Amino acid sequence: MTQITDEKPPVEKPPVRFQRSNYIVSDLDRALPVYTDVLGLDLVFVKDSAEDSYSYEVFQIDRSAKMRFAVLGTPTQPNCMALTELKGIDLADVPLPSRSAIVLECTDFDGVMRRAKAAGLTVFEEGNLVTKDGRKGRELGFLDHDGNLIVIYLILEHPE
Amino acid sequence: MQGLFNIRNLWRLAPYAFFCALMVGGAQAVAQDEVRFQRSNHLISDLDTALSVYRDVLGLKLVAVRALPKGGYAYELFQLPAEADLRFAVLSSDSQSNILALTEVKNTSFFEAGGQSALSRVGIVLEVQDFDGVIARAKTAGLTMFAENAFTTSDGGAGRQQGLLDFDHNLIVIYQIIK
Repeated sequence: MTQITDEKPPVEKPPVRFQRSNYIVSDLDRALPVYTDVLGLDLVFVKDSAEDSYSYEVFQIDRSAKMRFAVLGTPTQPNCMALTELKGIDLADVPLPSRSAIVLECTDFDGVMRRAKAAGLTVFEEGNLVTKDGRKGRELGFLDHDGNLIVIYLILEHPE
Repeated sequence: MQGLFNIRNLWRLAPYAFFCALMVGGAQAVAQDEVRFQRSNHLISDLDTALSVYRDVLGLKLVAVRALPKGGYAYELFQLPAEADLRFAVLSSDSQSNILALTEVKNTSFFEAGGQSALSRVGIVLEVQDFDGVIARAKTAGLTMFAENAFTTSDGGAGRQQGLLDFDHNLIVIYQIIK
């Protein structure tokens, strides 16, 4: 598992820092448009993973699988998301109920929803978002082509 | 997922305070990114047990815990049965507000039915400074540990990394840059 450093020393680092979330996908070329074209994340790089990649061990991936690794980010959050492609093994869709989700704030909510539907993704009904402090907005969940859950939201109203 | 988002008011306070300070000072607001990664969210079977990992082992800060309303959006998104009871916890690091959430699912046979295959399909990666301390605490907690691994970074650095599974088999990879 290649690590990508985001921050420049010698700024004192916090004891723990969230680096990224990582989804397993069966076809990177199919998955990437969801995260780039639909969601608007920036593709940082794609690389073939080494045969001794640590991901084989921690994800419990059969060593016969070929692996590619893509890193994505936003302008202010470099490398916050990764996709690991597995080829050469049978990778069934993520079973439901979903066990995890990534949550993204999207200013172009309607655009993302439109593009997700156009891409043929499983799109859930839109939800009304009402926060504890009275903010109101919209939220929408959809699944990528492998069944990984993505939730987007947009805040529309802030309390006085 | 109406309830899941209620917590976000907490982390919103800090940016607002900062934003207000900018306004008072006459500065222009910074344009918001079109997309922003808010958090990763894991489903877990017992929140107290899970917090012993994410808070006590890893050192993340617990921001808030609340019950989620029946029939909320989380039920649809995660395709959870209506009888399930949900609690939602949000955690932060010192520099990242509300970056991780844990959703406890009770009163359902989901976890007992083996809702997780052997192959992990999602992982989170955390940079830690007290690598050995985290590993020691993880072992004490009885977590499944993978072997430690050395790695090099894209810019020539080097470090160590180690994977572990929480009590619901969610994958966590910690790493530390050595040089």
